[in-house]
Amino acid sequence: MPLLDVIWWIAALLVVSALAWMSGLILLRVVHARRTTRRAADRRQVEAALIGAMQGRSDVEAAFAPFRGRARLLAETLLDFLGIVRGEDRRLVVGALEHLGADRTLRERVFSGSLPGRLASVEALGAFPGPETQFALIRASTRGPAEVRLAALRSLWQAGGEVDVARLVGGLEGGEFPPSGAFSELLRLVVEADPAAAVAALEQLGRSAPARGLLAQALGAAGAYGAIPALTAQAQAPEAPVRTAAIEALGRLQHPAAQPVLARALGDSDWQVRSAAADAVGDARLAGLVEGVANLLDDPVWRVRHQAAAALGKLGPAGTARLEAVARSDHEVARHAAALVLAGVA
Amino acid sequence: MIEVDLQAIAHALTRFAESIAWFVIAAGLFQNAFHIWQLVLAARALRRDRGGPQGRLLWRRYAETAPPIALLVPAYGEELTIVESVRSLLSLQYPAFEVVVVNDGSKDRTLDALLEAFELQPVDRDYELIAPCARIRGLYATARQPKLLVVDKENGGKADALNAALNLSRAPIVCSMDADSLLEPDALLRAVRPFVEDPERMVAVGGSVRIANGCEIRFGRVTRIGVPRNFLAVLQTIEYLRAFLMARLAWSELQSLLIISGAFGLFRREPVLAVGGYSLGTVGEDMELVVKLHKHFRREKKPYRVVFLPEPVCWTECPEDLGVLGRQRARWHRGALETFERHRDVLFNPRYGRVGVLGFGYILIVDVLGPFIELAGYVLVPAFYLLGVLNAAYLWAFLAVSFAFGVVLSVGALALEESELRRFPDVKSLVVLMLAGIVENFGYRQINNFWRVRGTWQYLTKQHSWGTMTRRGFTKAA
Repeated sequence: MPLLDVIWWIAALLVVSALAWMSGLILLRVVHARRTTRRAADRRQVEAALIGAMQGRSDVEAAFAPFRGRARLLAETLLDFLGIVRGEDRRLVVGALEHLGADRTLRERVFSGSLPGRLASVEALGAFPGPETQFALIRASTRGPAEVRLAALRSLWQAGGEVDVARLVGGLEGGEFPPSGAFSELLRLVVEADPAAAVAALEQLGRSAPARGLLAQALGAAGAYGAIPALTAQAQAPEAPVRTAAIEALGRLQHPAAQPVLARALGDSDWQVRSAAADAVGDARLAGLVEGVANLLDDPVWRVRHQAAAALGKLGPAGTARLEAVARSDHEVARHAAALVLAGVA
Repeated sequence: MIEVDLQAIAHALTRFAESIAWFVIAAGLFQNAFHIWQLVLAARALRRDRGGPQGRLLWRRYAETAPPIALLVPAYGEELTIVESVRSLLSLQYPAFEVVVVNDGSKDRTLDALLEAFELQPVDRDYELIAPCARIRGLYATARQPKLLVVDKENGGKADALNAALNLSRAPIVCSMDADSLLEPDALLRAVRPFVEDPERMVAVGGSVRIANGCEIRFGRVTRIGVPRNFLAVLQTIEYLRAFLMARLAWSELQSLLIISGAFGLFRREPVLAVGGYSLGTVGEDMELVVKLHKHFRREKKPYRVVFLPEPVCWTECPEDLGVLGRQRARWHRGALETFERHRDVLFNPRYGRVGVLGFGYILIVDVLGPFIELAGYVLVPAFYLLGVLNAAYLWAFLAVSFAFGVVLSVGALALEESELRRFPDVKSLVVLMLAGIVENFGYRQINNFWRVRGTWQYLTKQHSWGTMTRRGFTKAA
């Protein structure tokens, strides 16, 4: 075939392929429109069946029958539903679904099918405590994408299974889990239940900086007073983000025992540590550190000055007196920060 | 006396024409092959992320760990629409956010409209002027609407207003947008996902911008998606699909995304301040900021990510008039050239990795050299034809291939939308858009090239005006 014809054929082929692709999708749209309508109707029926289960109606089994194998539909509807149902009503719904074998459907879906369906099934399984569910979730936590593995551990935790700090921290350091918001949240829950294990993990030699930072945050959020010595040690870590996390945690604990370490942190070389320390002193109402905080009113970093002024505002008469003195001083930067707090502008 | 060897001249001319022809063919093939590759990358990314959570499931997964966001809303001459826009923003579904509206020295009653509608009072707030901006005249807030802060400042342009909002905001994530952009209720929750999943490395996230012309709008929300009735707006709908669903998604996959639309982008506040905020005196401040962030992190050798997400959607009104559209496109092109000039050290610099080679290489070929090549084509093709050195049969055949690639890319972008997102309401809309995907290759693409040439001229002659965008206002629901 002459070159010229080849070029024309290529052009024609390209246009025809594109139009055929789109025309096919347009035809599929007609089918899809019906499927979307049907899915919405199915979802409404599952919701009605869940309400029926909550009310203890006798026709629940028949209502659920058409959807018994539809794991993703069941999982997503259930997750939505359980988000607004608590206590006895929740127990009734979960009991009815267990009786109908919905948990088995979800367990089977955990290992096959599309990712969104697997993820929803894993999340929904958290509502079904029991050895079989726990076994499935333990398996799911060791395979597949990180988000499924992490969701499996969270559901395992919700289902009463054992998730320990060492497993999570090991997973983080081994690259099995990313240091995501979901990971931090799960770590917080687990640390809250077993702060001693978290302290032990934090004190372990060779622990990575990200892991120590997240453990410190979790211990602070968990209100673990037993962690004060470990957090005090981390407040002197060589890595600034770890020091910041430890100081923030000590601030959340608001314990006077942290005073010496906070006093040191007020003079830290990293501005984020100084800022966290000023905040922590204010929250813990450590009036003994008024002078140290006041010295930060002319810090070169605005955020530190701002936190120091706000902290002095929280330190009672001693702090207020210091703010008033600075507001009358001729140091412009510090005077501005103090005046704003005294005027009630945080 | 000089003897003129006409045969030698004709031979040289033919060789020159052949060289030009081969260059044009090679460049065209390369560009089209690259765009087809982008289409494939975008399809792969969309397929990977299909079926993401929606509604309450989205909230359940991300609300607990979502960081606070400050919406930065620059407003200039928005008296008629600002109150409805702000009301719409205040009702977004997100756990913790503040809306910082900046009245950028408007000459109309934009500020008064806000003060009256929200019963705002003068307030003070401690802040630091890190990013440069014009003098701030006052701050306004009310205890009844603690999420809202209004900043009144002297006029300084969009980048200046964004810098003011950046200085005053306190949330760790900021969202830049236009006062007349319409965010979908769950757009922030969707857009924040990468920051939750990768909090350490994520620096910036761009969302899709779509054409609101033809959609039904109620109380600042798109309640029914439609196809514009205006022909020019229909063509732009296809163009936006190609730009966002195909090109930006592919650039994001290639880790070389250089532009996040000023109409809707989320940034971590600290790095934005570290690079000095938005640069003043440029019309491409959105692109410029992203390039500065790339440079900052690559120089510091810190891991970072800049990504595009197709699903958080922001709706915007597009021009329905050729004059306004031409000015907008010339300005966009000028912005790209200004960014290229300011950061030309990035080009092919190994220190900047893919950003320098792929991202800036593309700008060099398509934005910097493209208009000149285009212009040369407009001059040389008729000249060669008149001189008889052009094979018209081959010219038409190659033009046909070029148009065919254009159709594949436009219709392909629409096909991606339909197969993975399916937002257009019905078959009729799809048929109209498919036809637009064909038609836009005959005339509209060429006009666009003319506007790019005009943008290059404005850039070379140092014309800095923004031009006026005459807005019709969103179509209200009946």
